[in-house]
Amino acid sequence: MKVNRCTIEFIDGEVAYEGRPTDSPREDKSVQVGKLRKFRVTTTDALNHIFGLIEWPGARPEVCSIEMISGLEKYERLEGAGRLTLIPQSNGTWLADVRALRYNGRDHQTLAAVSEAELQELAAQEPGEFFKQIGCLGYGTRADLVGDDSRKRNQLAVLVKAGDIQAIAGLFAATRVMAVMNDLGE
Amino acid sequence: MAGAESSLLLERDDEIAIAGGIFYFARLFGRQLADAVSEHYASSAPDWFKQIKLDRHQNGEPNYDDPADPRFLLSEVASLRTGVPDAIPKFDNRWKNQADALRRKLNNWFHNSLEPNLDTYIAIVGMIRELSAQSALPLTKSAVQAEQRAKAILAKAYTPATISPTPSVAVAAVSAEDASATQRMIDKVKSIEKRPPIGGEWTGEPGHRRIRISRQTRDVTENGVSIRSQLGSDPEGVVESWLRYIPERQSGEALIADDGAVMAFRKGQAYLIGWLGGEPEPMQPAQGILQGFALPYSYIFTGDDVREVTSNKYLSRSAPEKTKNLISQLGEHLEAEQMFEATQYGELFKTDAEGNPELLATAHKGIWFPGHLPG
Repeated sequence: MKVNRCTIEFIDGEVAYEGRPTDSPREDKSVQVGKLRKFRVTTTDALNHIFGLIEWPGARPEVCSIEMISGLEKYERLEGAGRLTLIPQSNGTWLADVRALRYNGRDHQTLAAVSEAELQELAAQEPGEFFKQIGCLGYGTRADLVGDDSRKRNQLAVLVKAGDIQAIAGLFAATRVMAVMNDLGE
Repeated sequence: MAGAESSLLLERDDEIAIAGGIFYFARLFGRQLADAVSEHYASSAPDWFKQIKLDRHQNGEPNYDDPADPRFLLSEVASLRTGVPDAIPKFDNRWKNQADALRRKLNNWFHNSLEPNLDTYIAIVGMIRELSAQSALPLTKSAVQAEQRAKAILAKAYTPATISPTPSVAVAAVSAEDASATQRMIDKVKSIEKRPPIGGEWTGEPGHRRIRISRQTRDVTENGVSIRSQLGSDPEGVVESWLRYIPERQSGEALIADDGAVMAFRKGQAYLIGWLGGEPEPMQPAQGILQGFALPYSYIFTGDDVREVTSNKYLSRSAPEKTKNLISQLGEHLEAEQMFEATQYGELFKTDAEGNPELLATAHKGIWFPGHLPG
């Protein structure tokens, strides 16, 4: 599967993964054993990085770095930043915010809002078309997608089928890997 | 020919077809113009070409063997020294000025200084179309169709009817001489792809040696060990020139290919930033031919500065680095108010009346107009 200048290879199999979920309360230091499915992202500038989708027994699913095999130094940022958390919905879908790693006046990239024009550059195609192509069930604001009326109601998001690793990896590659490649926000 | 034969219209953005198409229209224009002159002088001066040739010979000027050579006819028109303009239907001052511009363009084209791309095609065929239309030459309709097709291809608004493996234009329309010139041009395009200008995209295999160029220490290291001793007699200059092409925020990581090409990445694309052990000799061996193609800019040497014709910007106020040495170098070759051009390799050159290029100096992006050179 290709996303702009990234190639995604899905690694067969599911393995146990022991760790601390990102959305655990700060005071909760306990670890959980989740189920990990891995995918490798390679890029035209020689990155070879393995990421994984972890489904925790007692926390929200998420995507995080598993191993950076080789690549430019700037991609090391992906080892500690850019985790993607998925929010399970009552109808069996998962909601994911569309945010990207960007320089926001700092010397390193952090997750932040991303415009449609920036998304178009990251995905190398019109965002709505891109998300449809990778298998997302919907793309819009949280309010549009799940009727969110909180302060995050205008946050761009996608809805995916629960566990759809293709859609999730595509979103991750565009908003994390491509964002680092393009030095988004610089 | 009432209209363009469909085989003579471009089907896609293809260098061979574009080059063949330009030669075709240039030759057709020359032939029809020469026919108009011959018809005009059929009774009063049927040997008009012989007379002009003799005059040129006596004046020690470059000569032509073919009265239909467009460069010959356009230079006669531009100089207004013979009766050629009188024979051209609806000739006026506008025709003369446009002819002079077309003459310069064709001189560059015939000397392989212009890249065979859609912009060049549209510029040259468009000029030919304007002159032909004013003089009602038969090729006008073909030129209009050809120009429109090229613009549609450029705008991605044209879908080829069929995918033909061989571009038809070059094969069908040009003489052996022009076919050979087309081949030289294609060879040049390939050599540029293989060895791009510094700052240009690297399309070959990326290198395997991983180095780090440090802005802080002005050193180059490989696995943490300095390789400064491999940088030649001017290591500071080499480091400076490589850093020029690496964005400030990047850590200075670069790769070295087997042939010494040093490349870095920008937005996932490798681009050449310099050479380890000196830049190899240009692959284009023929004398008098520039390594690159002319950029779409013209420059005027003012005597103590350089002005870009379209923007009217001055080099000394535009370039990021000091330009004094370059300007004094140009002053050794150019008169004040003399025009010159540049290629993507930073070759600054002027051309003589026949379009022969003369290299004046070489610039890099630090001492040239921002955005004109790659990188």
